[in-house]
Amino acid sequence: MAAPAYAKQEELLPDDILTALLALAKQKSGKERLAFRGHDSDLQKSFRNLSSTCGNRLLEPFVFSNSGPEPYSPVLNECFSRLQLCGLVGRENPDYEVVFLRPSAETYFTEYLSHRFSKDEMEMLGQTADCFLKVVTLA
Amino acid sequence: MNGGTLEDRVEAFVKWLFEGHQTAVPRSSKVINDSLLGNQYISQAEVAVVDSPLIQRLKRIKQTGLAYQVFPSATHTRFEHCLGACTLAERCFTAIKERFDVELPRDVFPASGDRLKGDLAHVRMAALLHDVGHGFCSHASEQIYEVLTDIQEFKGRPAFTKNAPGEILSHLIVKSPTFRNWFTEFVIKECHSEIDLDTVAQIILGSHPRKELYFLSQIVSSPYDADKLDYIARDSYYCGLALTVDLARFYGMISITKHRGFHLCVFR
Repeated sequence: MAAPAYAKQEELLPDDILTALLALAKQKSGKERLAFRGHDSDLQKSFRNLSSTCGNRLLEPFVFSNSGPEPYSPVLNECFSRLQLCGLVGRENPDYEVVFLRPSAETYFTEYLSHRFSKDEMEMLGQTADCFLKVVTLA
Repeated sequence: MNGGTLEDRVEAFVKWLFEGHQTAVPRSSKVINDSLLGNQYISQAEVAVVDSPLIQRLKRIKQTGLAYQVFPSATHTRFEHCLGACTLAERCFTAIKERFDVELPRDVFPASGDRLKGDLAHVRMAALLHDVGHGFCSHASEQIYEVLTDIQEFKGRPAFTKNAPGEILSHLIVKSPTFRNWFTEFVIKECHSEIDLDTVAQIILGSHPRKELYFLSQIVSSPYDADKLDYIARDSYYCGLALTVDLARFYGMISITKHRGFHLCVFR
């Protein structure tokens, strides 16, 4: 089978990092389904905690604004929107405040994304995924 | 203009813009009639800035980029939009103050409403200058220069991460040495203004050096700012589309609340 067109892309985008992080977190949680509180303010707070407790270079693209009362990362917000548009994550009815990982995200990670991270980066991602499970409120 | 940091290149641009410019100190304030907002009262210090090459340049930038090719009457420019944003920023400020005075008569409103040197003067000046960083065809060109590495580098800084490239450039233009020198000589000395340009530059980015005055920056840059109030009404008017903004309700609902020491705009 011919390699997909996107295989040529070398640079890791924040979307790739977020997808890989969520897929690894699901594997590590041992749960059949990874779902967590995903209101915008919950996500911002969780990732802010993640950056401060487990900060590494993979989380650097998620820059948080420091000018307002709450730290805010537009990149994080945009990434979640794009992942939802791509069908990699979903939001539950009726209030759409619970985010869950779709099976397509796991397939995308194991079959394609995981090969784009180096061994060091995978290790870093694994540690970040552990931290993520601690800072997020699982639903 | 090619080498150096982004700040250097912005400074070179502003220098080029002011080259040979003869500033005539305005004799007084002005009333400018706008097709949409009617009479707009512009202070002497603001007239000086409006007459500067920085704001005059905006007369050559169409507000809606290439939309005039489809909507022939959408030929309005960033110039009238900036004047409109300035007027609407004051209307927001006044609405918030009136509501505050009614609901909390014993408290002192945190911002000064002096149009010449107070916080209101800073908000108006920030609204007037908020779009000076726009390039040709407005947001159409923004899509090109937002991928430039030095803009990306700025976006990677916490202070700039939530800002669009145009806002970053407006901020840098306002902070450029050439503009600062010109402002000090003609606006502060000649027009007796006490406006602090650093505060104006901060407000353009949607932040304020004082937490209790944070809401002032939200009047200029936030999801419901004077900028949007003006462009929604103005763009629809010039495109001939019947979009409506219920301004009376907006001014009736806007208020401020305190959160973690910050005064924030809210609707309630």
